Parts: sequence; structure tokens; C-alpha cells
Amino acid sequence: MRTRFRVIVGLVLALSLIAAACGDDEGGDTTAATTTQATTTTAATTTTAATTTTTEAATPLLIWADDTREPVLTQVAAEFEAATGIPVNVELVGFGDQRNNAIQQNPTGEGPDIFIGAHDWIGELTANGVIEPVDVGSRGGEFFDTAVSAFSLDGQLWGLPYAIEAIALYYNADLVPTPPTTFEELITICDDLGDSVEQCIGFPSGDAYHHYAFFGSNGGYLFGFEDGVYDAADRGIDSEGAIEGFTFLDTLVKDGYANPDVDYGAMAALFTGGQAAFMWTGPWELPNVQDSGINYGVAKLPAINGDTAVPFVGVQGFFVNSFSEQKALAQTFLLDYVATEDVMVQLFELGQRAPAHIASFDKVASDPDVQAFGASAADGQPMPSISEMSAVWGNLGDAVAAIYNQTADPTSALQTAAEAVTAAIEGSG
Amino acid sequence: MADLDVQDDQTTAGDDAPEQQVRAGAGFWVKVIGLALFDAIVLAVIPSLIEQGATVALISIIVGTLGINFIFLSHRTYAYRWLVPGVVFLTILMVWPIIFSVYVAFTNWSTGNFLTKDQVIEQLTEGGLSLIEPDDAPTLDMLWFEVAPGEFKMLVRNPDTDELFYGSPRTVQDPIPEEIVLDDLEAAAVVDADGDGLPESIDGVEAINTFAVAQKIPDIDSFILDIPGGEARARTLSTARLAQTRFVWDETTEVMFDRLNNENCTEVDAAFSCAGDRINPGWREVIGFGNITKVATDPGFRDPFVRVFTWNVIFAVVVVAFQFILGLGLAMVFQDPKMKFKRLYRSLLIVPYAAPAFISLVIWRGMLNRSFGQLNRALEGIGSFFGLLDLEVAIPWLTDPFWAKVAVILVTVWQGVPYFFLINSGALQSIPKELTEAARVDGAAAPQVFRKVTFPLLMVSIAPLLIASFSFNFNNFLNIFLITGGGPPLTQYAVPVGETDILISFTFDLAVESGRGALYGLASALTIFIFFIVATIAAFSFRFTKRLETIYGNL
Repeated sequence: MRTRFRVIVGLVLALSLIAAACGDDEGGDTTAATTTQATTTTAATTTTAATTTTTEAATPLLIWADDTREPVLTQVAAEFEAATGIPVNVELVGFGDQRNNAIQQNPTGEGPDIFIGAHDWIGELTANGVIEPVDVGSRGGEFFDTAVSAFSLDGQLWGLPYAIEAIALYYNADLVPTPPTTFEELITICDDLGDSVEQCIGFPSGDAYHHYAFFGSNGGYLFGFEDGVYDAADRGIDSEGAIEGFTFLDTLVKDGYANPDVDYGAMAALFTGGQAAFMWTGPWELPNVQDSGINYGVAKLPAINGDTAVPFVGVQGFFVNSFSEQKALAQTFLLDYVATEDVMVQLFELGQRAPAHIASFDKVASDPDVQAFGASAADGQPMPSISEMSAVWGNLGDAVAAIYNQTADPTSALQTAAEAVTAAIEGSG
Repeated sequence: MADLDVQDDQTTAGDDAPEQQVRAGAGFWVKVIGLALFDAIVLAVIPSLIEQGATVALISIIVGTLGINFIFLSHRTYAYRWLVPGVVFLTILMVWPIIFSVYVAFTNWSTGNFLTKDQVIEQLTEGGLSLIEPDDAPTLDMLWFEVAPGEFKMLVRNPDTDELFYGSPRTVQDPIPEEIVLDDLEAAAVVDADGDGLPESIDGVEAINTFAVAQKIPDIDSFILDIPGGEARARTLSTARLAQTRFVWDETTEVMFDRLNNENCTEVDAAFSCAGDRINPGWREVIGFGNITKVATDPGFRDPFVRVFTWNVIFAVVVVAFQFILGLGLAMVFQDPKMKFKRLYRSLLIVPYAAPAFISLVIWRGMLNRSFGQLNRALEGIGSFFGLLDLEVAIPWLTDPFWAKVAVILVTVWQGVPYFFLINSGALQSIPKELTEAARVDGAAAPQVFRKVTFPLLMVSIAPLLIASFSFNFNNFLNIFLITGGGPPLTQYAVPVGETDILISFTFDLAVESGRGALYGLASALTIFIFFIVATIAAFSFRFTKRLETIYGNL
């Protein structure tokens, strides 16, 4: 009897709570329910005409952005909502997390409608089918060719490019009045400075991306590239030019100009602390350098072995989730609201990455830093975007580390890397 | 609450208890309300689960909730009330991930094979991933007209030719029609007052404002208007692209047809293969023992696996041995009554254990830097203090294979010594003084007492903790990842692996940056191996401690 009493009390209470809970939820749930209903109705009656139930509250667009874009996009989102009545939610997601999060969450419906990434992710993102081509139509000419071709794969444009970046040479203007144009000049400056600086040139040791300039400048290449298509079977990781460039790097390490103990963090700290005359990195470090108050300048990368330096060029842009329910709306947002001079310039001001949008670039081109990074990028090569690239990063990084640690000579380091890449791409079993 | 409840139940053991006992205590009401809240939350979740079609989750949640209600409301299951939360969390946090990892180990889940087959088919046949687009395809202007409430027609305009096409769109799921059916605009009353080539109204129906389109037709992406030259589908809210769906899926024969090459596709390695090309994306499927045999037999994985395993065992054994010996030594020093400032030393000793590993490990990484790290500088300082002036210490802690191993062991030992100091202190105090005194009386010297009496008794309580510590350090991902990141790299293998990688960090590298994208299937297969290795070691060790207990436990 007692038990029964308890059961009854419990059930009554539970039911009353449920009723209360459902009552509150009603407002939120109806939209979802009507949308589903709308879809089914349209499917059933299309022979006569497309029918759909009018829903007053539009589903908001969701955008993932990191801290260098989030404030600008939040502002654009507000403008978009004011003009259209469609809310846009901007969620702060770290740049490095976006690729894996998108791959995992887009197919489950948890992903954003729009996210931001680098062009070299495209191979992996398309292999997993999580991004949709972005059709800029006749507006392709508004962007630099480099940016458009970097975002293209298999004849499709996979995102809206917005910024081009490449590494350049930061110099401490108090120590170095005129920046060097060749490595010979650079070394002379360093020898003159002697012990007045802790480490004359800061390289982020062991990093494949930053050291591609050595790899590529004397003719080294990763994959054959012809007519806009990469040939993954033609690999030049241990090509003569690559070995020549890395031998030059090897000499720098041996002579102490490149220090294996300076990693990215140490490099930035040395330069902003006035303890390094030069720093070898990209525009993303610019806000940090400016905050440090150091008298800096940026110059084009110096010639390596007498050849123009060829750094990696990275292009960043907006991707549309292929599982999004609102792809047309997402594209409207990108093409009509983001791909405008105003927004592109604002994005530049916050992140200091040179705009890929030509008109916006022209607006900010008078900035000497932009000119220097632009000049470096103009001589650069876009990072290959094919999915085989993921086999290169780690192995090329290992080769750079081996040279820094002096555990292998450049030839054998690159040959080992080439073998490992071949094994990874061709699948060693 | 607990106390009240217990009394309540004990005093009324049966249903035939007097009626007045029904007056329940506060505990009872707390329980009822708590349970009701729980049920309400579950019931609130159920509709969304039904909507998502998550059958397994739905059934397990319903069964679990009913079970919990029964256990909490029934007398007979009283004892299980306190077990239930533990079991529930064990299932969610331990059992389910294990089952899932095992499942993943038997699939080809990896870059290029992330989606389910249904998702792949949907993407290829309905999405914009694989459209055939003529090179000079124009971007069409697009307008929508609501001809009847909830009934829409689509109008597109080719800006190059000024041609207008107007009609009822179909959805992407509908079959591609044999012939194009469009409305005749010649016969309709088309009003284009501003002369921009786009009508403001057709037959008295006004065009929908661009942004109202998004609200009125939220599923605009799924409509297609067939016009001469291809299919017009919304690109933005006001423009359409002209393209052709490349793939058509035949539900009955389950064959994918490729309209570009006019032939059926085959299925190769969990992806469609059309005219010899693999079509991305592929799908994930169960592939049986493929991953497991690969780990076991493929020299590309087996060789680094064996190498990593060997170092892994050395790492765990050496670390635990040093942690234990140093911790025991410290504990014995603190046992000495002559020791001063015990409390101060003890507080300082706890620091490595109490400090968040994320912070202390990153600081260690900086301190280990060859040129800029404090450790080498400190060694130099010590060197010059002892008269070895101008000694330049440049130990490559992080970049040399040998020193990197020393570094990770050093830091991990530093981190774990306080723990062993604490438990050894406790265990030493619990050893009866009479036993050691009796041994001394019998004429044993101090080392002998320690070896024959103290240590064996200590092991009875410490041995299981040594095993636990071994298992923990065997899988000490954080230390390896944050101190050396597995490096310096071992370049002779095709898979990414470094000198200080242990199995779990090796697995992590394989899962996220294998050089072939993410290889979740293979990484999961590796974790199964790791599980069996750790389980075997633990089983042997426990058998050994049991023997210790039977020998010394009676003392």
C-alpha cells in the first residue's frame, strides 16, 4: 500500500513537471516542427507547384570564427540581420580546431553553416565531403588569381577567399637601418651586430611551413603542377633544388645563424624583446609585434643562394558546410555582405592579413607592412591543397628538424622524407 | 535525507505496516521530487531523440529511466539505489567508449571515409558537390512567386540572352523529368515596370522580396527548375546556377549512374568508382579484422610499434621505480623524529603533485631548452660553484634521442615522487612498531629489519598502487605530449613516430596526423592492443600481490 502510494505520488509529480516543461518549450519547438512539415509537404505536391508553410522566424545562420575575425563578423551579422531579419550567430572557435571540428560535426548536423579556414585544408575537406563549392559567378575577377586558384580544386571553387599571407622578414629598425635583400647582406649585418643581440635571426626551428622558402627557392618542389592540377605521382621532395636549398639552411645552422633551440615562441619573444635583429615569420605575428612597441620594419624575404625566395603562400577564406540546410542563404551572406570592400578592409585591420579582394587590397596597399608581405607573397607558391599534402607536413618537418639537430645531412634527410611520403601516399600495406 | 530514508524503510519492512507510517519524512519528498525532476528531464529529451531517429539511444534511455524509477520506488531493490548512479556513469563514461572504440577498430573510419553510405549518396545526388557545369555557365537571376498560399513558382533569367524561364520547380529528390515543362510567359501578364528584364509581377502575383524568400521558403536549396541547357538551382537568394546533377541513384537496383560518362559506377573500397576515378567522399563501413591484422603484420606499423612498445615499458618501469624509491626514501627521512621543519618541507614537497600538470609541464618544456632553458644555466651555476669555472653546459634535453628520454623520465619522476612520499608515509606509520622492535631485540641490524620486516609489510599495501601507477604511466599521454611531443622524430618509418613516443601518443599521432589524414580505424585497433598489454601486465601483477598478501597479510 505504501509502495503504491509512493508510486502514485511520484508519477503525479513527474507528470505535472512534464506538463510544465512542455508548456515552456512550446514556443521554441514549433519552428522545428513546421519546418519538417514544410519539407514533407513540398515533396508530396511538387507536381503542381512548390508548396511550403510560411514560417515567420527564420533559422539563424551559424558561423564559426576565431578571435581575429569574430568581432568583425559579429558586426556584419548585425547589419545582415537589420537588413534581412535573419539572425546570424557567430561562435568563437579556434582557427586550428575548425578543420577537425567541421569534419566531425558537419555530417551530424551540429556544424556551422559557414566556417573559416586555409586553402590547404580543401583536399581533406572535400575528401570527406563536408564543404560545398562556392559559386562566385562572374565576380571571380574581383579576387587575386592566386587566391582563386588556391581555392580551386577539380575545377570547382571551394570557398570564398579573403586573405593572402606569406612569411617575410621582420627587422628591428633600431639595429638594422636598411633591410637586406640577399642572405649575404643579412649575414654581414649579423656579423657586424655580433654579440649585441642574443640571436641575430629568429627562425621557428623544425617547422616545415616556415622553411619551405629554403626548399622552394632553388627549384625544389613538392608536387608537379600543370594547368592548375597537381600531379601527386610527380614528387620533388628530394629534388636537386630542394637539396641545394636545405644545404644552405644546413650551413646557417652550422654557422649558428639558425638556432635549433629557438622555437616559434622563443623567436617571437626574442624579437619583441629586442634580442633578435630579424624574425622569419608571417603577418599573424604583426599585432603582437606592434603591441610590443618595438621599432620594427618588414621586408621581402632575402634572396637565398642568389635566387629569389619562394615562400609558401597561404590563402584563407570562408567555407560553406555541405550539410547546411541554408546554403543559398549562406552564399548570400558571403557574396553580398562579406565580399565587400568595407568588410574586407575591417577584416584586414583586425587580423593584418592582406586582403585577397583586389579593391580592398588597393585600399590598404599604402601600408608598408602590407607591401612587404605582398612582395614576398608575389614570389611565393600556394601550398598544394591536394589531400596528399597531409603526408608531406610531418615528414618535411622531420627533415627540417634533422637539419637543425644535425642528425642527418640535407641529402639523406630529404631522401628519408621522400621515402616516407611515398610510403604514406602509396600506402605501405 | 539519507538517514531519514533509511529509518523510514527499516521501520516499515512490509506492506502490512500500519497506515499511519505512510506519513513520509522530508527525505521521502526530496526523493520523489528529485526523481520527478529526473523523469521530466528525460521526457523533455525524448521528442528530440525521436526526431533524430536515434533508436538505440532512445530505447536505452527509456529502459534505463524505467529501471531507475523502479529501483528508487521499490523496497526490494533498496540496496541498489546507491549503486545506480555509479553504474550509470560507468556505462556512459567507460563501457560505452570502449564498445565504440572496438566498433571503430573494425571499420575503415578515416579521412575520405567519414560519412555513412546514405550520406554519401545524398551528397552526390542532391547536394552541390558533383554538378556538371558548362564552362561558360551564366549566373542566372532568380525570383520566386507565391501563386497560392504556400505554393511557389520560380523564375530565372539568363542575363546574357535576356531569356526568362518560369515554372513550378521540383525538389532534388524527384526524378529528373523526361521533358521540360515550363509555363508560357507569352500568355501571362508580365509586368516589368523598371525595365531591368526582371518582372515585378506575373499574372498579378508579385515577386517575393529577396530576403523574404529565405523566410518563406527555408528549404530553397532543395528546388530545381529544369530549363533548356540544364537545371537551375538557387545559388544565393536572388541568383541561380545552371548545372546538371551528375549522379543518379537507383533505389531498386542500388546502382549509381554517372551522367557525365553515361555509365554505371562500381563500388571500390567503400567509394563509388566512375569511369575509373574514385569519387569523393567515400563512406565508412565495417571491414572486419583488416586494421588488426595490419597492426600485427604490416612491417610499416609493426616495426615502429615494437620499438615504441619497448621504450614504453622502459619508461613506465623506470618512472615508477624512481618515484617509489625516492618517495619511500623521503618518507623514511620524515619518520625520523630528529627531523626539523617537517611541515614546511612537506608542504613544499606537495607542490609538484598539486600544481596543474598542464602548467608545470609547459614550464618544464621551457626550462629544458638547450640555450635558453634554466636547467642548463642552473647546471652551469652549480659547475662554477664547484670550481669548474667557465663550464658550458649545453645538454640537448629535447632534441637528442638519449637526453629527451632522460628529460621525460626526469620530469615524470619529479611529478610523481610526492604521491609516493604521501602513501609511503601512511603505510610506514601503519606498520606496528612492535614488529620492528621485536626484530631489533632479536638482533637484526637496521638494514635487515627494513629488508625482512618493513619492506614486505609495506609492499602489501603499496604493491597495488605500484601497479596502478605503472598502468597510469604506461598511458601517460600528457607528459609525453607536452614535454617532447614524442620527438625527436624517428624518420625511418612511414608513420609519424618519435624517440619518446609511447603507445598512446603514437596512437594519437596516427589518429590525427598519420600523413594519410585521420586513421581512426587503425588507431582504435592499436588501442585494443594497448588494452590487452596493460590488462595482461595488471593481471600478472595482481596475482603477484595476492601472493604477497597471503604470505604477509596475516602478520
